[in-house]
This record gives sequence, C-alpha cells and structure tokens, in this order.
Amino acid sequence: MVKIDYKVCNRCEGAREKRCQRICPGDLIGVNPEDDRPVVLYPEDCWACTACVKDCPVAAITLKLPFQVLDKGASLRATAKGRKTSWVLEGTDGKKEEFEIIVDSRQ
Amino acid sequence: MEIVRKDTDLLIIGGGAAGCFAAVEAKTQSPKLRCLIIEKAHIDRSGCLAMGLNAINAYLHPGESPESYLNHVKQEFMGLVREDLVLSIARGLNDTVKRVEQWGLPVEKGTDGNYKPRGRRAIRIIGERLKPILAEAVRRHRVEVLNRVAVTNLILKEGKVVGAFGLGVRDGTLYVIRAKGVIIATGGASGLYKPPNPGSARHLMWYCPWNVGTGYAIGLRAGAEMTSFENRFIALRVKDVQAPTGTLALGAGARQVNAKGEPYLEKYHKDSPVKDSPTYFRLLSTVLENQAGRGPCYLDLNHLDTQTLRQFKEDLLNMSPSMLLMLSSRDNGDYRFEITGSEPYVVGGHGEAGYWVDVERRTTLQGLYAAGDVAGGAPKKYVSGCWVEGQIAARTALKEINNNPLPSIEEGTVKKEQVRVSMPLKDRKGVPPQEMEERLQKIMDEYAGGLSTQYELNEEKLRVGRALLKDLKAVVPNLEAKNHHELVSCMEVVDRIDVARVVVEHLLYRKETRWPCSQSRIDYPKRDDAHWLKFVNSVMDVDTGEIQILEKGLNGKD
Repeated sequence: MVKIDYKVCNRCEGAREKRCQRICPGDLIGVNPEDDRPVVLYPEDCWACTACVKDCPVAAITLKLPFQVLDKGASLRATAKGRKTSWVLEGTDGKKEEFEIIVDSRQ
Repeated sequence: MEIVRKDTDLLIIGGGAAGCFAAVEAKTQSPKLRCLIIEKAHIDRSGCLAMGLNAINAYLHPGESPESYLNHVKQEFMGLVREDLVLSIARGLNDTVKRVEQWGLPVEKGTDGNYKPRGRRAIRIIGERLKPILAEAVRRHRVEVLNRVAVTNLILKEGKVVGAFGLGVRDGTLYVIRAKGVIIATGGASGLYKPPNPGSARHLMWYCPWNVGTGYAIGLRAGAEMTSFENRFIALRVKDVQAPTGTLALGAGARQVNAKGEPYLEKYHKDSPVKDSPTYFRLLSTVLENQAGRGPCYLDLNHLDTQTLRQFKEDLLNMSPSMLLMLSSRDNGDYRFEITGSEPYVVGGHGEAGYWVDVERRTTLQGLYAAGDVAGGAPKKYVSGCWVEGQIAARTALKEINNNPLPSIEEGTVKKEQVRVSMPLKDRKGVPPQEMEERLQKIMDEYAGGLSTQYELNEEKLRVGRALLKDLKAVVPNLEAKNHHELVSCMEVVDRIDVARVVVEHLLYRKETRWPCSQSRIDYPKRDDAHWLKFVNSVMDVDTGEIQILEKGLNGKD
C-alpha cells in the first residue's frame, strides 16, 4: 500500500539503514544490495500507518489503499520537519489538497 | 544462532505507552538505576500509537472525580470491573496528560485555559507525533533501548521472574537478559480472528497487527494468572479503513443512520439490555439493524460545512490517514460512511482482558509487573490510563528491587529456548507461518464467534473450536521459516495460538451473556448477575499446557 518513488528516493545518501526501513513498525522494508534501494518486501502486511511516508526525508513514499477496498487512486504523501508535518493529498481527479499541522508544541 | 547476554536492574518489555511511562518514572525516581526497554519494532513508531492519535478518551474534566469515572466504567462494563484498579488509574489520569503536554503534545484548549472537552471524558489532541514524543522522553531520561528485539519467553528461577529471552528480529540473535525486576507492557492481541479483508488488505485492522499477544503468551507459559479473556473487544469503525467512529461522531457531529437514512439508535434504547453502556449499545444496535435488513448503517457527515470538514480531515491525518483517502475519493458529494464492527481483539485497555494484577500492578508471578493493554480488569483506560499504569508498575518494581546479585541462569534453560526458537529455521517441515495464522483465524472466526458468525457463540461450536486448536497446536513443530523475518512470524503465530486457546476456554466457561457481541452466548442469552457477577480467570500448566479456570469475586479475591 506504500509505494517508493525511485526517481525521488535518494537511498538516504548511502546510509546503511534507510529511514523507512528503520521506522516501519512491521519491519516490512529491506534494502536491495545490488542497487542500495529500499524495497517493500512484504507489501501485503502493511498497516497503512504512514510512519515511513512521514519519515522519508525526501517525501518519496506515497500511501494508497489496496484496490480491493478502494478502486480509485487517491494518494497521500507527507513530510515531517521540525514541529510540523505537511501532507499532500492527491485526489482521483489529480487535484491536490495541502495540510500543514503543528504536531509538536515545543518552541 | 548467536547468543548475547545482558544484565539490567529493571527490564521493561515493550516500549509503548505503558512501557515508556514506566521507564521515565523509574529513571526519574532512581537516576542511577539501569533500565532497559526491549522493543520489537523501533520505539519511535511502534505499536498502537504508530499511526498517531487525535483524542485522549480518559481524562477528568472539572466536575468529574475518580469516583464518577469509576461509575462510568462500571456501567459500561455491566458492573464487572476491578474497582481498585480503575480508581487507581482515574487518580493519575490528569497528571500524566499534563506531563505529556509538557513534553510537546499539542492539546486543544478552551478560552478558560482548560483542555477543551470532546465528549464528557475526552480531549482533542494533535497526536500525530505522540509516539516520537514519548520516545524522546525515554531518551532524555537515559533509558537504554534495544530496538528490533522481540521477547520470546520469561526466564524463571525458583518461581521468580529473573529476566527474559529476546529474539533479534533481523539477525536471529538470541538475547538472554537478566533483571532484578521485569515490567511487561507489550500490549494486547490482534490477528486471533480472521480480519474483514483478505490478501493485500488483511492488515487494515483496528489494532496494531504486530501486537500479537506475546505478552499474554509468555505469562501463560510461565504460569501467570490471567483474567477476562472472554471480554473480547470489538470496535465499531468505518468499514475497511477502520477509522475511529468517535472522530466522526464526537469530533464532527455525525449521525448514526441506517440505509433509509433513519437514526436507529433510539428505537433500540428502551428494550436494550445494554442501554446504559453506550459503547456496547452502539455496536449491538448496528449489528441488529443489519440483521433486520436495514443495513448498511452509516455515519452521516453530509451536514459538515467546509471549515468543519477541513478540521475533520486534519483529525484524520493525526490518527487514521487511510480514511482521508476514502473521503477524498467521494466525488459524488455523498459523505455517508459505512460503519461495521471489527473482528474481535483481546486487549486490556479498551476491554479488560489481561494479567490478573493487584493494585500495585504485581502479577501473580514474583518479580513480574504488568501495565497497559496487557494488564486486565480495568477497561477504558486508553492511552492515558496506560501511562498511569506504567507509572504505578515502575514505582512498585523500584520498591521491590533489591541489591542482591543477579542469579545465574542454567545453560540448560538457555539451550532449551534456543532449540525452541530456532526450530522453524532448522527442522523445516513445510508450513509457512502465514498459513498457520490463516488456519488459526479460520478456526476462531467460525467456531469462536468471529465476524462471519456475527460474534455469536454456543457450547458445541466452542467445543469444536477447542478441539481444532488442540490439533493446530500439535502441528506447531511443522512451522517453517525461510528467513529471520519469517522466524519472528512463526513465534508470533505460536503466541497467538496459546492466547486463542485461553480465549476459547474463557468463552466456554461463562454461561451467560454479559457483554453482547463481545461475549454473546446464544445458548445463554441473558445476563445472570446472580451467578456470574464474577471474574473468570485462568492459569496454564507450565508442563502440560492444560488450562485451568478459576473464579474470582468482584472484590478481586476468591
């Protein structure tokens, strides 16, 4: 249900453990040793929690629902930076809606 | 299989809400204490809170008291709760919430500076980053954290818990951890029952799919007493995406209507055996309305203006982003969302299944304390109640940790666990963990009141379920793991089978219907306070695996 866009993914600049791999609560993401790309190894076990979506430093990961529960292609992307998490929701019609939420009240 | 040995003073199993609070409390009171959390995932985004949270549902607003909170919980759970535990939670709720707010959690406030009520006992939070905020507090307090280590069993010596075994989920390392005190805070159990959707959507579930009941299972295998496993928790949620109906109903004022657009709750109210328990009432009414041919049932959001809709969307991003995908795919302007009951779970935070503990959160095993979803008898504790329980457990553990040297652990004990854990890698007999899990979920669904039977139970089916689970347990040695990830899945399904067996024994034993849907016996359809206003507890024989049922009175005693 999450998809990594390899045109955007920067392989965490060669870090041994990728951010998405580090954070996934189900340990579903691994790294392909041949090209150093993070790979969702067990896509059918995804909980749709968006931990990887938010933690990706370059917003390369999108969330979609499995086709069997939603046959329309809305998708969600996010960036967690500083005190805020910013979201981009892309509707089926390609229209985008953006959100910026302060999720940590410390100055 | 490499073996790594570690020693600590206080071992906390599970770095979720309860575990993080226990760790912070322990290090605040005793900064020199060695405190170690082992966590199956990464503490920044593990367990129930990985997705975020948009409300705290246990908080005492001005005018409420611990006693009024207890009355509410008692009423919701048909009079059968541990009053001592619920009161001890209620007394600590507001302080823990304040503390987490100081750590950085944004909480919505009214013009008077108080937290703004969202319902009578709830507040609205911007909790998308609640888990990272808790994890950071843990790091600030210099707690050692071992991420990606899943507990596999407790270590006992002369009847006392002296540590735990852990499995490195990526490299298969066996950790042998000795401790002077152990707090169990692993959460409850999902995946015992067949989920609503198969295949690629099988993990679109209410509860974290990696909370598999390991905390219960390791306690059961060590002889700890458990309570109320028949009190299964079934969440009324938005169908498929499992979005919280509270966000829609309380947060956005949605009406609960049937297929014809009629509000249906009222018509069941007068005759409902659960009219005083809104949680059970809303679920049961929805099941009945569907059975009467007036489904689907919906939460209707068509009344929302643009501004409210926008805030509603933000609430969803903080807790249930999938729901936003569903919402945004409605291009016909119809904002009704179908609601259904989830498959049953076993939890001690919404429901009351878990370790039988005393008011200081001691389990029946010396040296082991329990907090959060894994601790029983005190439902509706939710996240803030888990924090309080973590604190209480840590305080008790600190009082009882002594300066005696850590006991030696016999090589035979380590060897035995090493053989048990590594078996699916070595002695491959062809059953992948996923297939074992599907078999378990099918048995539970069909014979122990899952979704396909609309939660209904009867003696004969439960007996079939008991027999099939016994057969399934017998083929556990046939599990095969191709890699370390699958090895963890093997351990998880073994734990789930142990928990499921206990659930069935509890469901068989309670011969009344106390909590409709949660525990609906067709053969004993009425609530029977004269005989059943008591707890059903269980202990597993550590040698034979046989489950013995015990009864405990309302006062928590025999």
